[in-house]
Order: sequence, then structure tokens, then C-alpha cells
Amino acid sequence: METMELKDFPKDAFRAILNIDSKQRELIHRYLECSDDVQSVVRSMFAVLEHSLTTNEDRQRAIATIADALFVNPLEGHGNYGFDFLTAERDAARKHEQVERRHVVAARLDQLDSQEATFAQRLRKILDEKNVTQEELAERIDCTQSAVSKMLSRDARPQRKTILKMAQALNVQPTDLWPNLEVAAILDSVSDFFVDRELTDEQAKAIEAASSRPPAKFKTRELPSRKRK
Amino acid sequence: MPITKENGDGWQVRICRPAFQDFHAIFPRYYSRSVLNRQLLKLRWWSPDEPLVVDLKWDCDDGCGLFHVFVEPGGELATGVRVVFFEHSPDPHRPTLWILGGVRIDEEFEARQKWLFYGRSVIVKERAD
Repeated sequence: METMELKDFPKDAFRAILNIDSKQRELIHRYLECSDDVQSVVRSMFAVLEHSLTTNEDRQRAIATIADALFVNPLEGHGNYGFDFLTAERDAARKHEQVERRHVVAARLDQLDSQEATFAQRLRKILDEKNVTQEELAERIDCTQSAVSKMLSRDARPQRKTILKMAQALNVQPTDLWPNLEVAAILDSVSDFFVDRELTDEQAKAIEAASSRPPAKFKTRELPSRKRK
Repeated sequence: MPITKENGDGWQVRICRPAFQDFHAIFPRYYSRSVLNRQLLKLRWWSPDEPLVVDLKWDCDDGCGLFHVFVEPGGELATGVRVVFFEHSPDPHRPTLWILGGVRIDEEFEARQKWLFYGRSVIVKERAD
């Protein structure tokens, strides 16, 4: 390493070093323990944070990446880094960090399973009734027979667009394949609100916009008062 | 670098912690995240030779070694998502895809965002075993 003369050392560097607290010291220590490549990533993430055009979303992503680089927290049963996605999904209810929410998560997952089972059952019935093979359906909706098979065996959850394509291809209503296709999503989001008791940014903005709207400027007929008995 | 061929048993799909945080930011509701996760489980059957992953569109980012899969909006998901993933198999006998994170489908995806996810892939290559 090239040595520097003391007189060449930036003056404000000493002041910065004296002002470092224990948390910052830990951060620097962790940074120095990273490999050169990871240090380079961390530096580039800080550059993203400091850039004037960086959006809030990208700022959050950069912070998450820095935290991931500096604070390695392997989860038991998932290896030294990251998570096995399938295992994490299967354990979502059983190992949820908030014990009081495990039953809620389990109920949600059961609901997803039930929706997929109903869809598979209904699709199979309609294919039988209309004498359409999986290959024929796949061709009509522009995907593979293997994909149709996976949806029938509940290995893969169809997207909404796929359900609509299948309905059109089979000349049935989408709700014949997936009951309450639109309503279920709305009801679930309402029930989730009462569980979570938090608003998304969009909901908060919509409420704020509605509450700050000026009163409607149209005449109304005064309602007759109710006569008291 | 050639992609490790999935061996008929499907890919192992792994996910890094920042990706979970990305999805939490896009979908604060657990139900929506769980629907997204169900869609992403299809990555087990991703093939670079097929245009769709079951019924999900995907494409590759030339030069970065990263791939994108698109989960579309409608019904259960208020917004579509672009999920970034790449292939990294420390054990050649266990072909593995890594989910690096995601952005809303209507968000821009330019050099800065590509660099963010590329940075995550560097960390994965460094730390994954």
C-alpha cells in the first residue's frame, strides 16, 4: 500500500475520524470485512443514495442492498445466504415472526389453495364436457400443453389474463372457471385492511383527495323533517 | 457464461433478502404478496428456450446477465411487477435461479435500476454456497 505523508492527509479527515460514533465504527468495520467486489457494490449504492435524481423507491432498494451487504443474517435451514423460495413459502404460516399472525397467514394460504383447486376442478369438467384436450386448449390460448397440465394439477396458479383467454377459448364465462374473479380481490383487500389496519399510499392519497374536495355546487331539495310522535 | 441446464427436476429458486423488501414495498398487503409469490414459484420451470414461464412473459437484459419476468396486474394484483432474476449455480448438480428483486411494471427501468440489481447479483455470487 502506498504510504501518505502526514502533511498530505486531508485536514477534515481527522475531524471526521474523531467524530465517528460506535455505530458508524461498526459500519466501517463491516464494510472493510467485505470483499473488494462487495465494497464496490456498497460504494455504488451510496452513490445512488446521494444522486439528486434517485427516486424514493430506488433509495429504499439501495438501502436494502447496503444492509444486505453489511449485515449477513443467515436463516437456519436456508444456507449461508438468501432463502430457498419454496421452503419459505411452505413455512410462511408456521414460522411467521409474528406468532399472532400465523393463523391469518395460514387462512390466506388455504384460501389460495382452495381457489386453485376450484379452478382446476372446473376447468377439467369443462374440458371433458366440451371434449377439448389439453393440447387443443394450449394452442387456443397460445401456451404449452405442459403449462395447462401444471394449472390442472395445481402446480401453477393461472394469471387473470390466462383465465380470461381460457374462458374465451372455451366459450364460457370467466366466473365459470374462477368464481368471483373480480369480487374476491376487492373483498380480500378490504378484509386485509381490517386485519392490518394500515392504508397503502394510494388509499391514503385517495382519502386525502376526497376530504379536501370542495362541496358540490348543486341545489338539493330540502328533505321533509320527520314528524315526532 | 453458459446457463446451467436444469436437470428435469426443475430449478431451485432462491431469493435474497432485499427482494423480499422490494415486494413488501410494492405490496404492503400480505394477500397480494402471497399471490405474487405463487406466480414466482413458476420460475421452477423456466427455460431459456421457451418464450413463457407457464403463462408469464420474460425477457433478458443483454449484457447484464439478468432476466426479467413479468407478473401482470388485474384482479388480485393492483399493479403488475417486473421481477429481476438470474442464474447462479454454485453446485452444478443443483441448478439455481436467484430472485434479486422487483419494480412496479410502470416504473422506469433504466441504467440506475439495472445497476442496483446487478449489484445484488454481485453479492449473491460472492456469498451463495
